[in-house]
Amino acid sequence: MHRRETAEHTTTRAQRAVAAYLLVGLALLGAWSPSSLGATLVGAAMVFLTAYMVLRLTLVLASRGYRTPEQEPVPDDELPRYTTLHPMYDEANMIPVVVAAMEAVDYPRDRLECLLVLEERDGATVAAARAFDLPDHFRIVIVPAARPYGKPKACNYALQHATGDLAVIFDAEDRPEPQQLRKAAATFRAAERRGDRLGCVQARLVFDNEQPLRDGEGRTRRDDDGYDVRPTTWTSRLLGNEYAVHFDLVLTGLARLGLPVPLGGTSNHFPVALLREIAFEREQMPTMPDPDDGSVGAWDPWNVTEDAELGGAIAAAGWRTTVLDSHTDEEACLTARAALNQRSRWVKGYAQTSLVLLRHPWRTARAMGPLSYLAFQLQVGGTFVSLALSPVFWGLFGAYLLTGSDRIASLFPGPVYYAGMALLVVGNLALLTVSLYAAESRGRHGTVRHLLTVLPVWWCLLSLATYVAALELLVPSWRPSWNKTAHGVRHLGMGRRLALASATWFAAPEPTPVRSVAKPAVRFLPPDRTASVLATGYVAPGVSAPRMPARPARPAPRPVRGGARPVVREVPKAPVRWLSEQSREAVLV
Amino acid sequence: MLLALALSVLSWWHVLHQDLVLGYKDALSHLMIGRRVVVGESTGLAQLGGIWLPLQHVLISTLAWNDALYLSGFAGSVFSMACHVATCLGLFLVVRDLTGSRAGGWAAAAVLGLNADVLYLQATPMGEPLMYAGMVWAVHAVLRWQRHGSTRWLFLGAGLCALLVLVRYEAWVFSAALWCVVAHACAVRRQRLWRGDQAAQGTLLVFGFYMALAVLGWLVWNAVLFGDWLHWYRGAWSSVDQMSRLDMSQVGSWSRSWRTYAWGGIHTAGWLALVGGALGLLVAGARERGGPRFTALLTTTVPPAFLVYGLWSGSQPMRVVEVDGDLYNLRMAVVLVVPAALFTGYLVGALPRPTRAPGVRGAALAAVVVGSAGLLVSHALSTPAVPVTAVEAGQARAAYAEQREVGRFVAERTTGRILAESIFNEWVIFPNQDRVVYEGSAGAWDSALERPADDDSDIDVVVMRTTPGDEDSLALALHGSPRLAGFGVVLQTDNFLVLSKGAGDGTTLSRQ
Repeated sequence: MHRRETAEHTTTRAQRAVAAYLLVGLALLGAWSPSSLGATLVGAAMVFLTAYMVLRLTLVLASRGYRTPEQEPVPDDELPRYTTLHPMYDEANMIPVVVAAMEAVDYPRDRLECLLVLEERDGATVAAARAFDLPDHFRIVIVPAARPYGKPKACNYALQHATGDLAVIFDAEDRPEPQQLRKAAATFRAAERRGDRLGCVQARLVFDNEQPLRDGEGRTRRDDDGYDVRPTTWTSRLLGNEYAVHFDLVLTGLARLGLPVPLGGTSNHFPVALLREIAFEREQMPTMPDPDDGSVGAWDPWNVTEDAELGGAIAAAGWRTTVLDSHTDEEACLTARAALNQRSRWVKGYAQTSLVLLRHPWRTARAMGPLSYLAFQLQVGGTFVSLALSPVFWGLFGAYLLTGSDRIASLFPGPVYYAGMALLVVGNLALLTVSLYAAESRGRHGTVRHLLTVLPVWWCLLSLATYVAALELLVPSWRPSWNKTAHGVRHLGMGRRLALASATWFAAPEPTPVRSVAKPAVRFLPPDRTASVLATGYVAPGVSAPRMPARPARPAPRPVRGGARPVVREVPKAPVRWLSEQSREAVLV
Repeated sequence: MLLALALSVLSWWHVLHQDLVLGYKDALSHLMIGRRVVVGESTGLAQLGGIWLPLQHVLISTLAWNDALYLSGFAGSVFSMACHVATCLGLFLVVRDLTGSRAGGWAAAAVLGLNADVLYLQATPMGEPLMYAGMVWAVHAVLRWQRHGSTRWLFLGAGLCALLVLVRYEAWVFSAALWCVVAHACAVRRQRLWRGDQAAQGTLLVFGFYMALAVLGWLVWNAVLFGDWLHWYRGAWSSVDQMSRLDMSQVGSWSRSWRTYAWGGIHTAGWLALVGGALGLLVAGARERGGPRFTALLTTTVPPAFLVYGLWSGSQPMRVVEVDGDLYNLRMAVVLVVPAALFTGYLVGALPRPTRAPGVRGAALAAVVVGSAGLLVSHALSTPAVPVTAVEAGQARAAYAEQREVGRFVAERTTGRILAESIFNEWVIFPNQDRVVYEGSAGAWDSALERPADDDSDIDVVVMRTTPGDEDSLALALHGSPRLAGFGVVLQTDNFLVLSKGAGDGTTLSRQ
């Protein structure tokens, strides 16, 4: 059985030693012949980038032949019990949204268990959940305040209380397609009949605010105050397009080729038994306040893209992942700043996953299969490295155009030069084409102009986010937890994160404030029907309006010039607080 | 497709045995440019230059490193042949999809596939067959997109237009016209440009983006290499520059321009195909009611129309016996075969379907045979020789006999680096390309021209064209110059002088 490793420590001693030897070797080569060093580095980078590009394009092409997995309809009385996990933090206003979304799901209520996974230190959300008139199949799980904070640890904690045969994670803003659970159950049933080791079913995630909601005349729909009903910005369009490429083309390509799938953040359905089977060892997990805590280590609590790592673990255990013909609507960030913070976290998580898998490369490659291992590494670590290298080569190209420097030219001997030119022209054009195709084929025609004008800039910003992620990786003492970016909950600005990373460069890691937690809090709370008012503007189809609380008063709307320009509502920022401060302010239930 | 392939290979075999694969001087130049990218004194993408569009040369460079493929011309012919087969298949598909008639598809493919001039051109390393294939498949892609709303075909059409932009200049106007067809189709579907789903906006941006990028890329390439965005248009040896040395009677005269091109079309396409095409155009216009399917077909007439404009404006040369008394550059008219084939096929496809009565199959077969024979006969009657382009190429080849001999002499009797100018000396350079320092060899050319006898220049042979009044730059700079001290004449012909380092006067060969 493949033993999983956590990302508690970014690198191991052996990895640091190898890196040191490599650096010394390169330094010696540089001292002996600087031009050889440059050509070696450039050549290696070209080989890597070519492999990465070839894999991406292969996956996109392979996705064309992807067929959704076979499903065997399951009668209601044979449907497996389902647990849906809804980890939430600082999202008091989203409780009704979660309830409405799950109420719209078509699944027998006596076989459905929805767990609102809340943080003990997030008193507001806990109070809101308690105050809400929750349906009977909803339960609240309070996760004790212990480091590392975050979604994976919360889900690990909640999993011990899951009674379902199948489990799925949904974020607070997720609106799964009503038939999704039935489809997933039917897919698992069909796989079981075939004897197929199907370990995970991933539904497609869709950002519905990639384009505005329009009326029959093509006008953007606005509410009484003049705001867009579904605010859309160029950021949300590009993010929506990225999701389309990732879920519709890349993941389906991976699934078709039988390669490991780095799972998306939500809407991944698992057999609970499998999660328990491939879980981390108990001693690998963080210390919880309650010594009898029964958390299941399905997700790596230190990895900020824990689902991607879990996708690799499922493959290493000999199980397969497939992509379901169902989707979950999500909401994209509206501002580039928020989106870049999110991307920075994702890229960092990919790097964490890659480094973890590099600790025992031969062992992991044997478990996954060499090709799968290579493809998975290119998917996760490759994304990080390619984004980091891209500005370097653009810089060299620009410098050469401006100066015609022979020194730069000497870095690109024959084959390297042609490979570089091909990557520059064909590679970038191919990536752009994939994005354009994703937009056009899904009828997102309005996104095309944004792709043509902003995408190169967006790529540059992604590279910037990658450098921020690299900085965060180099400063293990600073790990933002629940670095949520959307939905107005919490995010730290890029500048703030850089400043914090710099400030804590020499600082010792802050100990987990376990003492401040009065008592382990694992409890199921009955709904308090004397609920107070919560804010939301979302009404799910099929949900009766009286259930939804009234919207709070808003400031007067800004005038809309000409009535055609979409008005972007900025989500009000929560005050930026540092983790220790949050810990001290933890609200105990 | 197999028939087209067989005809293609047979034609190539025949042309090879006629020694006409490299009849056109341009065919030779295409091969040399492709080879220079990977073989020679100074290799690299810069060898693609800035006058001729680069796609064909990039393709040739993948094979021209091999001496046998390069010297036989197959390194270029193979792409022309592949494109010819693709063109026949594309014509069949376009007409069959439009009319639902396989007979129409066969007719369209036959008009082009049996055309002797097309068959000659596809056996040579010329760029025209690439353009024909790109045009037909781009039209096919746009029609498929119109019919099925398939994004994949839209992208394929857009990509083909971008590639066409990098093949021949007349394809620029074709691509622009096809973009207008896409706009037409969007308008007919009442798709919105600014509001609603903005489908027209996205579609037009996608379709126009790639060709615009290709054009922009070419302009930037010219600016980087030659410091002039429009070097391809007005630089040395550009079409305009070369035309300024010719005295063409068509310049400024629409009447002579039209007549010249029309006779060119008659010589290359033949009467029957042209009449059939004209009738088919009328039928298609009526049946399609001028809709976007018709305008898509109509775009194939844009390159011929543009070439007529080229004759009038003096940017393209062509001469026919009926107007000027001789033949020159008739291959420009061969593109007219494409619309003639499409519309003739449409005409056949629009004919009433025969009932499945006994003997119908035999009658249909007989009709095909008669039609094909009619095509060939009408073509033969339309022109003094079939194929007229091969005749013209043969004449050109004969005109370069002396150059070929000099080139062969240099290849067989000399060793070491050769200093020679490439332009208008192509046959001298062709067999010796890998050791020639020429005007495109960056700094090596300047220093060798300045000090050919220096060891640093490492020049062993100098070849110069000494035609009185038409000397090349080497002859102007070095003929009789003391800078050639140490070089002796090893060959002197009417128009060429070959000098070799260390050779004495006693070794000089001469040909009167």
